[in-house]
Amino acid sequence: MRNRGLERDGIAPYVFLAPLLVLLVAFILYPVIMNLVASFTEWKGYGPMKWIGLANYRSMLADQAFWTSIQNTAILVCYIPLSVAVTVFVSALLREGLRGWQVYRAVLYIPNLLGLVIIGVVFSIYLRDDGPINLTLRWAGGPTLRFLISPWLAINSIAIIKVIWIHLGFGLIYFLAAMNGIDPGVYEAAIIDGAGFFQTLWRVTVPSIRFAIEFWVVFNFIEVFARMFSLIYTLTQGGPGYATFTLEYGIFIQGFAKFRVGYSSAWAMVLFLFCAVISVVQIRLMRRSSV
Amino acid sequence: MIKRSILSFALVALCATGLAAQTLTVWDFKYSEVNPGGAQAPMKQIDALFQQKNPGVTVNHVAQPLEPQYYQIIQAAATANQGPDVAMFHPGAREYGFGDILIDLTPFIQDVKNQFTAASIAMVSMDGKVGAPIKLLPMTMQGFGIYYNKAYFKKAGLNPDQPPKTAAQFLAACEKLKAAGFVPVTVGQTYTIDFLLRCLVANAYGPNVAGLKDGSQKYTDPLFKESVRFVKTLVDKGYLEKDGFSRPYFMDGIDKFAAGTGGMFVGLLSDVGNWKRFSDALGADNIGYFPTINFPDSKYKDQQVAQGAGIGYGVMTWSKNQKLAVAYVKFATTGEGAGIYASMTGALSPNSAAGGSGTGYPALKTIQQYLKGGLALDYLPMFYNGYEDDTNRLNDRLFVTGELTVDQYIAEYQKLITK
Repeated sequence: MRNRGLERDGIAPYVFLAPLLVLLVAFILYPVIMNLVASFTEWKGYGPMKWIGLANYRSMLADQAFWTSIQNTAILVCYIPLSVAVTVFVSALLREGLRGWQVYRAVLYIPNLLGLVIIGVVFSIYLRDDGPINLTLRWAGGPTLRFLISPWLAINSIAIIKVIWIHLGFGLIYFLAAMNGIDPGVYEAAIIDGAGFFQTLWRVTVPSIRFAIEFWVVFNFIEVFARMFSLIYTLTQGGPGYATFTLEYGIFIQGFAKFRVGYSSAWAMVLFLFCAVISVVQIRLMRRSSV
Repeated sequence: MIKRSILSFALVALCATGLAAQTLTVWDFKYSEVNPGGAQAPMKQIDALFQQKNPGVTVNHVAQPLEPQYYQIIQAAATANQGPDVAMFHPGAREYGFGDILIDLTPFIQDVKNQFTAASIAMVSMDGKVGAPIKLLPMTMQGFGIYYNKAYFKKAGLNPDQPPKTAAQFLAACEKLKAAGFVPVTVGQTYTIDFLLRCLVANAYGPNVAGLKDGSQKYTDPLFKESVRFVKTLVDKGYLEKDGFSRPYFMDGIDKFAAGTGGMFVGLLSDVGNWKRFSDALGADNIGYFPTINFPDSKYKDQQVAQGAGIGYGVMTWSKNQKLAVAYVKFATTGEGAGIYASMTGALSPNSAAGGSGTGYPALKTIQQYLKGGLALDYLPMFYNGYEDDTNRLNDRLFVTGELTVDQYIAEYQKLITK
């Protein structure tokens, strides 16, 4: 049995790929397989594992906290279209040559330079009942908005901060770069035809940067599913009640607060499945765009 | 020849010193308390004394973060099967959960065991069962109660020497404080609700509180319900400082009360937020104390909720210096060590031979009187690792947001014990 690839390309490509493959196996494949194994066990994260079959999955499906976490994650996902709309709109505004647009871009990028932990701590001060925002509201004769106490306000505050506000700066850089790739002649033609700002945005800009938008959506999905933890931990700790308790946060609580690592691995498998589906969609989109 | 002899002697001496030198690593979540009355200063004294009495031994005391991060670090150490020789734990669910990485101290402590209260020994024994392996030696005992600012009571027209002991008196006192412009109860996040409920439940059930765990006592019982409803009333009437629930840390609530912002505070007996902290800040004669609120239908009155042990030290299974580690644990929790810790922090020691301070602190005298009287076990540490996280989420929901009714809340509580 001859190896055609080896015959054709020689050994060099495999040698060059080997370090990356080793890293992928060590830090991606092995943890995923170990997580799958752990999800069928009762395990505290150390000591012997006790095989319990599907018991963790049965417990998970009967656990109200699990379904609440899915529901909360879904609420965050609902903010992704808004994130896309806001980011594309602001990028288009800046592209129009708004006076001092470089300053706005720099200011809006600042949240990306701060860590999520810092942002979480800062907002835990801003949003508390006796924080600066509420003190200003009270001073103006308005009501106290219980951002961190009201379940509805808490989850929506998290969504606005993370999905829209923090991503905005990076989105601007990304979409402005994409918009710079559009032929200026197309815009000139649109202006000659009498198109206004919104018509140009909808008929010229958006179709021209469709691939960039698709990537942005996928990026946001992954952020919502797997990168919310730091902000939630520092801002609401999953509360009030279970109002900001997401799938990712639940994995942490089960594994590292209750030390039910086997059970949390079952939750992690669900997160893995969601992320795998998103990745497959992303790969398909990239293939379609490169055709 | 002489040179060679001197060199050989020096080498042997160096090796001998090296062999004798031992480093004992201690992890705890209290060592970072550098504030006056905090734990670091007495711990440094204890370590220095231990080193003095054990030449060649160096204590490497490491300040670790508070829970829950602390136990995540312990979990990581257990995964690696290496870490400190001695570590601090909360007796109860936390200790029992990590019992498999703590050595059994029973054979080593027979000479000092009788110095500790029976309640503390029961609590540090695995699963709270007397006769089971003892995995920690306790440094403190713990409990909860209500501290009040006597000056504010006086200004509000209340008798500062007669704290409100019944539910009706408590509500009336809150109303008067509110009318006088004081926050009736300063709040430290949802822990205020958690602690108050534990005071009320312990008072309601007295020595029968263990039934809440084994299922013989249902949470739907009228006394439990009355406790929950009472706290809900306090929230609804605005007697619990509204702004305090969104504060990021419980410690902020302690600082607020110590700064004189409220009439009452549901605090602790040891560790933090205790009689010493408030007496030192607001004046020893200005701090009053009562352990709970009595309901008319309750069989028990004025019960002091208590955990036999609040924090304790244990020896890790992977320690290569187990004998030395046991010696350190005994030194820190008995005799001179226990005395230093109790007198400098205001913690109450479960070691009857420890002594400690208290003269000049009327609030402590009041606490000690209640401790001599009716004592009721705190039910919360009887459950699983992370139970408090679950109950605090319920406290968030019910009391702060009104998302759950009292009945729904009790049903959720009942569900938790089946986990």
